[in-house]
Amino acid sequence: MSLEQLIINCKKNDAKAQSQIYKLFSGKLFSLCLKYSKNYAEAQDNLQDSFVTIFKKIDQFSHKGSLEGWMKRITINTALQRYRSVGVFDLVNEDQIEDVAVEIDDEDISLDFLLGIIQELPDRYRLVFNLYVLDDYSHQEIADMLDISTGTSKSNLSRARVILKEKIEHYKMQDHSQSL
Amino acid sequence: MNDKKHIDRLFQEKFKNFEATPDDAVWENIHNALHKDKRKRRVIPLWWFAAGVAAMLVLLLTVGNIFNSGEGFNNPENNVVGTENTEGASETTRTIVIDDTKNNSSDSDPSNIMANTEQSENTGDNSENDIQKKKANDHDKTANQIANENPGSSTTNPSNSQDEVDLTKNNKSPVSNIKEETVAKNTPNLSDLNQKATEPDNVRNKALLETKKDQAQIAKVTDQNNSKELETLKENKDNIALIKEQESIEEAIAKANSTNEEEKEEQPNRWNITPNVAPVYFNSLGKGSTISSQFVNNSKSGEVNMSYGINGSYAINDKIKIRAGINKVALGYSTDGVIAFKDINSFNGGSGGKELDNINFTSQRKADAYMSTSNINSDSAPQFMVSNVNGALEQQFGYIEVPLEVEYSLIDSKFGLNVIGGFSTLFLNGNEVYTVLNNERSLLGEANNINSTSYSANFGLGFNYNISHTLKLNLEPMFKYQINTFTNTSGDFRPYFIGVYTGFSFKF
Repeated sequence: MSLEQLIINCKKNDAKAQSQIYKLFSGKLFSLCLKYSKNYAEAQDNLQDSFVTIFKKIDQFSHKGSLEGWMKRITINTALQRYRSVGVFDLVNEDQIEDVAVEIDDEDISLDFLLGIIQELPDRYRLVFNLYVLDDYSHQEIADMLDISTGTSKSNLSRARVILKEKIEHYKMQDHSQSL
Repeated sequence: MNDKKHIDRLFQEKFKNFEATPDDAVWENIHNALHKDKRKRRVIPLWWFAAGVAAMLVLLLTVGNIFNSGEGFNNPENNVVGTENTEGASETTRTIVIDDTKNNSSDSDPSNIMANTEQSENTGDNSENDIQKKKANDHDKTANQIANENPGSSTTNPSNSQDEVDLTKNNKSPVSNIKEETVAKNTPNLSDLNQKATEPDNVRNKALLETKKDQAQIAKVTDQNNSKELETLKENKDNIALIKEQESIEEAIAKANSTNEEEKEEQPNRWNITPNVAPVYFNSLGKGSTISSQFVNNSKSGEVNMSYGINGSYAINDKIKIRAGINKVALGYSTDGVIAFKDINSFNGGSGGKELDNINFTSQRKADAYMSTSNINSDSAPQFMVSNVNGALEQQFGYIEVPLEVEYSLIDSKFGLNVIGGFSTLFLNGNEVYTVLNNERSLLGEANNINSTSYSANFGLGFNYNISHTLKLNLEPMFKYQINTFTNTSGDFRPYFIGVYTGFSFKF
């Protein structure tokens, strides 16, 4: 069955079509959820909420962009919603060095480790880092989405980078010392 | 040492093709969230389902009747144009006029209308108009009847022309030409009215439009009618249009006001409560016996007993009511031509007396034996058997009846007519068998083959008379075919009972 047909059937709340769409996209969307969440359980909650929203609003999907892009936006929004209500985006001191060149050695680091340190980031850093670095949103877009200033967005990103670099280097040192 | 690299690149490359598989439980939860509404809807109370079935039965019956008899034209429902009145062609006429006058009144000066209304109330115009209207309705009915009696024939002209003659008499205007060109004839008629010539013209045009719509509906409903029938209908409708013009506009406004008030008053009263009493007659459709196989061919006579109870009903809309209730009903019948041998078993006599399979005897009657006179050859039998001890077995049983029925209203005016269909659940609460010998009745025992719970399919007609807005007198002949009443019968015993339920119903 074509994706078009699946969408049509999903609009009729057809369980089979919904199951197919879920199978096609749950992997990608779950990876998205994992990045934006503190932990695995929260990511699963986000994924669940996202798919429920997707299937309930699929009749609003207008085929202007790809279905995947539309679903990703819903998933990211769902993830952000969780923190919007908590109110983590307090104004922070914006007098921060912007966009420092944070460079590290290109070594083989496991994905699990990288995901782990992203999840360990404070909520506001994690969201900005994900949006800017991994999902190609501009600072202006991020500022609009999170209801913060672009300056806050930039400084949050810088702090996130610094924290991540430290963790990677710490990890490498440990790794290095163990291998010695 | 490897090349230095921007940290963003590292993450971007690593996460480029990152996919992860969530637990299966996630999908379960999503599925449940999306489809829980459906599951809820599936848990429909049993009685709703039953009521639906009953409603379908009633609908099928009524629709079937209309189409089978080919009298779809006469059925008032077909004539109704977007209104809830069903009093037949006369009613249609009235509603159309009301619509028109509403339009008119919105165009004209309100004070004018008020004056007109008062005038119609105070002067004798009203009664005159009423008489006119009644006559007009009569014409309409006869015209309709004739049209239906002579489908496809060209003999409708006389009837129409006759109507027109009558109409012109009512109007007291000289009309020489009596042909079907009603539109041409309207002008002299209209000139009699007090209104300006243009206003009635509007009325006529609108009315004609309405009736044409009407015809279109009728044409859709019945495929059977040929074009000639349609023509005759058209003529009838033209007559209706004529009649409408004869009703003065003042009267129509007065009527519109009154009908509006009536509608407003009737709406909130959806609940009815009806205590009822009924004589019920029990019998079987086939030849058989519930007592013993030897009595299959004996003559049986149904008894008339009483049923009483209370019903509550809820009006879903103007046409359909759902009702339920609780009745106590007693039923019985007697098997004639039975011979009883008192204490025959104690004598150990073998003269052919049989025990009765389906009866549990009371202790003191265990020794008796019974047989049907049809098994006795009167020549060989002792004289006393044939002459003296010819008796009957009387079976009595009673139920608590819980009916669940749907009422569909065919006529709803001062006198109402409903079709009723549904079913009852019957809970056994009385079960006795008596012997009747020489007018002496004594308890024999109880039947062991009557189910404690059984059902009946109910059909009937309801006639009612509105005494006031809240009080109605009902008369409902009902036929109730019993299902699953006996477990073990001989022959073809298909029990039913007929009751004529009467009672007052209170609206609230």
